[in-house]
Amino acid sequence: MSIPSSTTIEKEGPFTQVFEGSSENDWTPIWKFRSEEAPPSDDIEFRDNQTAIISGATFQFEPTDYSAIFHPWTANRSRSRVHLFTSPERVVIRGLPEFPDARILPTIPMSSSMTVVELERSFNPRTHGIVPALPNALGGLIYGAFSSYDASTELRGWDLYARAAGVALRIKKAFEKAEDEIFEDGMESAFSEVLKTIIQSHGLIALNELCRVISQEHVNIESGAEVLRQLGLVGHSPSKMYRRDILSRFLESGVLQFRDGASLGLSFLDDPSAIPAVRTAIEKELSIGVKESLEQTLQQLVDTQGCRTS
Amino acid sequence: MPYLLRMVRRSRWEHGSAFPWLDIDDVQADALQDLVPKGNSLSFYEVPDQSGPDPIVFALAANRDNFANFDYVVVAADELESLGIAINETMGLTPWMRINRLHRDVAQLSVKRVSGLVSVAAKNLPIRMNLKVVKAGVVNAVKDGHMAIDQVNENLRDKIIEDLNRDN
Repeated sequence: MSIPSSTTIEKEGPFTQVFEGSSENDWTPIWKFRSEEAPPSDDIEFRDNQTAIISGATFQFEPTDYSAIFHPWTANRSRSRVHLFTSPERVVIRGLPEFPDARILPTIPMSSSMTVVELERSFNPRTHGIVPALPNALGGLIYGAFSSYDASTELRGWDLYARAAGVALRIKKAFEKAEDEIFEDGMESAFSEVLKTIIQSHGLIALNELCRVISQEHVNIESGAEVLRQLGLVGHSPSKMYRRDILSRFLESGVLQFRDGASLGLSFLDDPSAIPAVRTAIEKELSIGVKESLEQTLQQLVDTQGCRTS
Repeated sequence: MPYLLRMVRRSRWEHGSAFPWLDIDDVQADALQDLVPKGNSLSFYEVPDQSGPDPIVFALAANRDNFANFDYVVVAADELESLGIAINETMGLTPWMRINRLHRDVAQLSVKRVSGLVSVAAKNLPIRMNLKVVKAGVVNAVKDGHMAIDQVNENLRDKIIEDLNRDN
């Protein structure tokens, strides 16, 4: 998929949060706010290109971190990525035009009532005429002036970004540690404890990030399957519908262990509204074991539905 | 001929078209995660002819942190013995005393014997009992007095009590 050379202005609001660079080669964080409604200057403070304090929280950046949403201002150019929430229906990661390895990642559709983040304003500083003198490298930079909201945590704007970056880092570390664990059905693990805590504390932000991580090509399969099981077990009613959607989607995964994990996750969740997805998955499933698991899940969900309607 | 049961995670034992790199009679190496010996031994339970494997499943499930599916393999004891594997009677550690007496240490394991054990266990796809059946079995075992509620994993107790109260 080709990468757009710049974003278009989706919507120009009454204000913009603008970060200005001093020159093409100067990536030290000399940026300033240009709006009356921008966060107060003490809301974001860059210590160096690895550390920032955002809304009072300290963030350490690594070039490959998902906290790349802050990279335009801080990190190594060669690794920069920008995380854009372009619509309620999709989350898109766009690379900067000079980075050919950037790609657009498929993401899950979100229920309209559970929109995680919504883009209200975005702009390209070049097309916006704010930094007309900057050459391509900087001119292609995508800056977001977001007014975003996560219903599960009631976080907005910068608070939401700060939280998302922190959650992404915790999840990344949890996956690294999980590689040394052996998972057993019905047993807690250090990994499952972290997953539960993160989901219960950070709601849809955490789920969005988990979904992104396990959609990656080189994810550890055991860990990914464990995530799917845990999505059915975690006690967090605000995200139940969203977890069901994620699990239903992973019934179509190309990875057998993920399909099995999703089937189990749905049986743990015990939500009859997943019945159509399970029925469809049974028709497509080629593995005897997973098919049997899906049939068990279906039977359970049908029984549950019967109990609720009787 | 007695049969022995061990808990596994079924997806590790899957083969077929999902794993085109596997030989027909081979198993994913991930299956070894279900057979990690301690002191060159592995824990199994002998399946009683009369009641079948279900009480063993419920007893083991009562030791776990959550109600979940229960996947297990069943192997013939004489097939293990033909591999030179020793089978010793030892007491199990479940809340169900009668089941504890069915515990067997599959012992004197070597790398070669574990490999043989995997081949024996992989002859059939592991059996899966789903969450609701597992939960109902554990609750009934407590209700019928086979297991004392205070011997069950403490994370399960509230859920069991809730179900018992609902039945009453």
